Amino acid sequence: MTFLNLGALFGLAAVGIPILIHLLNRFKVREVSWAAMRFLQESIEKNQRRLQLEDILLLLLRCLLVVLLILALSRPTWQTGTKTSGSHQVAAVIIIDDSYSMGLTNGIQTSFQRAQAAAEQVLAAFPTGSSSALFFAADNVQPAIALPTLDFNLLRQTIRQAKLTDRSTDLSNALQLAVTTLQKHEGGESKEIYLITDGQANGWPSLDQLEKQLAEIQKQITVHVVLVGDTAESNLAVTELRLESGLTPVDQPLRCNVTVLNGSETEVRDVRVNLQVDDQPAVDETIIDSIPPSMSRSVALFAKLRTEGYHTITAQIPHDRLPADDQRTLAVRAIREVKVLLVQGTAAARPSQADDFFVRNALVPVSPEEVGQYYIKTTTVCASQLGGTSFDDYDAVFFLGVDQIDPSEIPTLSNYVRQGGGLVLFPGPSCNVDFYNQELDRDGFLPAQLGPYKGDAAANQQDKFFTLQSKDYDHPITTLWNDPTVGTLATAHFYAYYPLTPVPWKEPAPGEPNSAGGQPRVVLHFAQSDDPAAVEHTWGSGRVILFASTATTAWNDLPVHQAFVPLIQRVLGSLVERQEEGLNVRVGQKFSYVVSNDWLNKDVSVSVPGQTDPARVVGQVTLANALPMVQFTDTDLAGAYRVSIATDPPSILYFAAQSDPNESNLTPLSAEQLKSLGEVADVIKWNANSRLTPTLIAARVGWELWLPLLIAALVVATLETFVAQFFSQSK
Amino acid sequence: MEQTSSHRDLLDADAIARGETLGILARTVVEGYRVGEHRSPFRGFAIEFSQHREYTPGDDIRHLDWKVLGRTDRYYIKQYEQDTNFVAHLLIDGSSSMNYGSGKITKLHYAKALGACLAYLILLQRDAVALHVFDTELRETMTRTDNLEKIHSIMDRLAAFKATEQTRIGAALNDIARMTKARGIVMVISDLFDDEEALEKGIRQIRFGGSEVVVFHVMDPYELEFPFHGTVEFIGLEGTLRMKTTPAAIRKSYLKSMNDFRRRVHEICDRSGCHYILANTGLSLGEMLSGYLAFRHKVAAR
Repeated sequence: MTFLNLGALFGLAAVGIPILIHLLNRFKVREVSWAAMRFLQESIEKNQRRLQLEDILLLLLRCLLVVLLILALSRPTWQTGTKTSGSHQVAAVIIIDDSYSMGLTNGIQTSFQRAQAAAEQVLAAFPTGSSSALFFAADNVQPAIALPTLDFNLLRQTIRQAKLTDRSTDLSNALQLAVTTLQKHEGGESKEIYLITDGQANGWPSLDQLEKQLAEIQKQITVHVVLVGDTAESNLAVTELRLESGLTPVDQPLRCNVTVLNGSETEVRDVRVNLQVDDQPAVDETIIDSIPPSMSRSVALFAKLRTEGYHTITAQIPHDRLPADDQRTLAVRAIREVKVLLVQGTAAARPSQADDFFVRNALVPVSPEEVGQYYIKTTTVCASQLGGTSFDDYDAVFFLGVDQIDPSEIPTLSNYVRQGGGLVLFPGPSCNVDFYNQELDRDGFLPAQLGPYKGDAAANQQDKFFTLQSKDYDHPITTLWNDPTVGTLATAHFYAYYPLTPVPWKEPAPGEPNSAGGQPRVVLHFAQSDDPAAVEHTWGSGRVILFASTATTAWNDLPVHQAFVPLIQRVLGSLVERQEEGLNVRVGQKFSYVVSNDWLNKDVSVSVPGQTDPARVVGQVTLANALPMVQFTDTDLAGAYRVSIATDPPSILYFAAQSDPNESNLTPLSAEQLKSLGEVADVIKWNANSRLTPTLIAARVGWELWLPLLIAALVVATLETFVAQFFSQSK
Repeated sequence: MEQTSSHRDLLDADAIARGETLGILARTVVEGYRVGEHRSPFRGFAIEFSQHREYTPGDDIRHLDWKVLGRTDRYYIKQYEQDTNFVAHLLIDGSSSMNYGSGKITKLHYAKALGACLAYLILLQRDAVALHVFDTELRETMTRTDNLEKIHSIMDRLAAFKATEQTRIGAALNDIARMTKARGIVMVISDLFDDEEALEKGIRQIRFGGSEVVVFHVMDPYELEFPFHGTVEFIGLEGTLRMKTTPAAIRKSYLKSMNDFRRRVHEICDRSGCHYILANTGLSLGEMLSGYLAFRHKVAAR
């Protein structure tokens, strides 16, 4: 037991006061001459012992009252924990979790509002002269007040003005930074970290490692984890909104795949999902009959974009206790037409024998009369006629059975792709494998190397064939066929193909410049050998897709299958989509978008989601990597951002930030996790009905006992009054 | 003049006024030596006809009713009822315990005033008064007198008396019993803080002599209520006893003892056939006296 006001203990001398009064009362006697001594003597003799006992009891009660009062004034504390900072000053870092799971509301307050209240109570619990820094943490750390400050008004104001983000949670970085901050802090204060979070298990992806770190610094820094989260019985979330079409032509139905997660332990029925374009009323709606517990269900909804330019598509479900994940927004650019250049190996005598025949018809699957109105426009050239062709006039280029091209064209082609163009390569039966592997892929331009072909396409060998995978399509181009009702790719027969070996790829280390080529991804593979049938990767701002077999019926019969049309359409979509990928970023990711050269040095204003104020100017269109770009970093909120370029008239574009779907999983830290965390940190489960300040003071200095002592003193005082009253009654 | 002023307050004007109206009436018929307002137990032959009775041999023939004899030829003796006057012995307790007084007057003062008033009233109706003041023995004695002029002398004696000794009421009552040759009335004015057995014995002796006994039990209101607070050291008026206590804590016990004492005294009086009157010094002497005299008047009228 320690005393916060040790000096008050000198007041214990006051215990002599009742004794003194008692003695003085003995001396303060009135003398009365009395006649009826006989009766007085009888009464006194009869009651003497009782009177003495009553006197002693009253004296003891009065002494006890004085002792209790003095002890209460001396503020004794009962040490329950291992904390020893006592009433010494504290240097602290307060970390408030501002991930979107903190938006979980109980109808009155969100977890974040409780966290703000808790943070203020933490401040109130600091001894005079303490200092504190303030971090807001989600998957990043935002040091609102980077170094411990004595200005508690500033701290309170910053806490009150804080806003929730739509980021996901990873608190380890924040803790690490807090530890570093306190280790650098010079001064003799006790060092404490207060982490105020909802205790979502997702927020501690590397709990074991973190516990080790905390255990190492446990002696220097006390870590308090204040859990302010509420339990949510159910949470529905839109975890994915994907444009299945790939292409976004005007006035064409766009198939959007919406995935809804049921994060509860019980089945959810009749979930209404709708789709909105821009801020207009819903254009499509459906009801998911049932979502089993902890499972997702996907539905397809359709939207049409009426005008050319930038739009937003939002999928929405009815609001629940965590509103942040009840909608998801995509930004798209509606286009009038897509220009495709088809480069064929050699000209054929008959159109049906031409290398581009099947691809051209797959790209423009309409009758000859409608070709003019169709949004995909194709142009076919021979490889030998490539010289002087401007790739930049096309959104995508298909190499169909091209054996090789003039090496001087390779840099032009590479630059075209680097700046956002799309390239698809279907090798022909007489493909120059060495040219592909050495010339074309000189600096890693192709996603894979071609091997010597496998199989035999001769007519007498056609009973031997390869087929494509029939399930587990995980590349966005082929996920459509996970739904068996839309057909299959597995019925196509491949008689020969070039085995593709994806080029080795290494993730650049932090600080290294990104290489031009992205990680190669297998689009399709053969069922028998697992050899890739198509591999793609990004190259600069564009994309390259390399198929293993021909785009004609020379080596396979895929082009005559129904699935070929959607496959080619989706391949084209992925190329064009690559150009618009920049319109959709993760929450917190920097928005960088290549725009027209005409917009260079124009002011850029951005309205963030939910903002009603006029858009604020955030910068200008500047050159980055020799490209005019709009850049915006403050993307903490999910939803549509409206970007206005100060042209005349202003040019408007939209981009969208999408939150991490994992954050919708509100599963709290398990009892075991809390227990192990409790071994290295002081874990406090706090609800808004209780006061945190006394708990924290108790954690720092032990439980203050002045209140129980004061209550005991009042009880003793009351008892003394009653006892004195009772004793004074005649007996 | 000074002497007059010293005893003037002994005569309570209110008490005297009430007493004059009601008079002192002996509850029982006493033998008087002069015709007064008190009926003599010796019926017969004097002043006022009472009744007839048949003649029996040995009766004085002077009292034969000759008229009845002449008319009826029967012998009847005339009997008369004769008023008589009485001697009242006022026995005042002059012990130290009577010096207690919570208010302006002490019990002794109250007793002296009561004695003076009674003496005046008795003399006023031409009865005789004998005054005695006692403590351990009879200290002051004034032989009986029926001269109203003597009231001043009585009061002087009363006023001059100072209480110093302890009480021995038994001895005083015995002395009085010996002194009362004719039946009369003995009025004891005392706080009776003495041996109850001796008190009963003394009263019985007087009663045996045929005299009426009236006990005025003089008590201070503080003795009856014990309303003290705080810590008090009580110093005995008789003797050297000192006792320190918190009266509030023992009040109930004290009052029980006191009431038991009064009840016992009352019972002694009842058993001995004498009157018991509580003379609370906190109450008006006149009211107390008139109350008692009214009671006597009513009893005498039966």
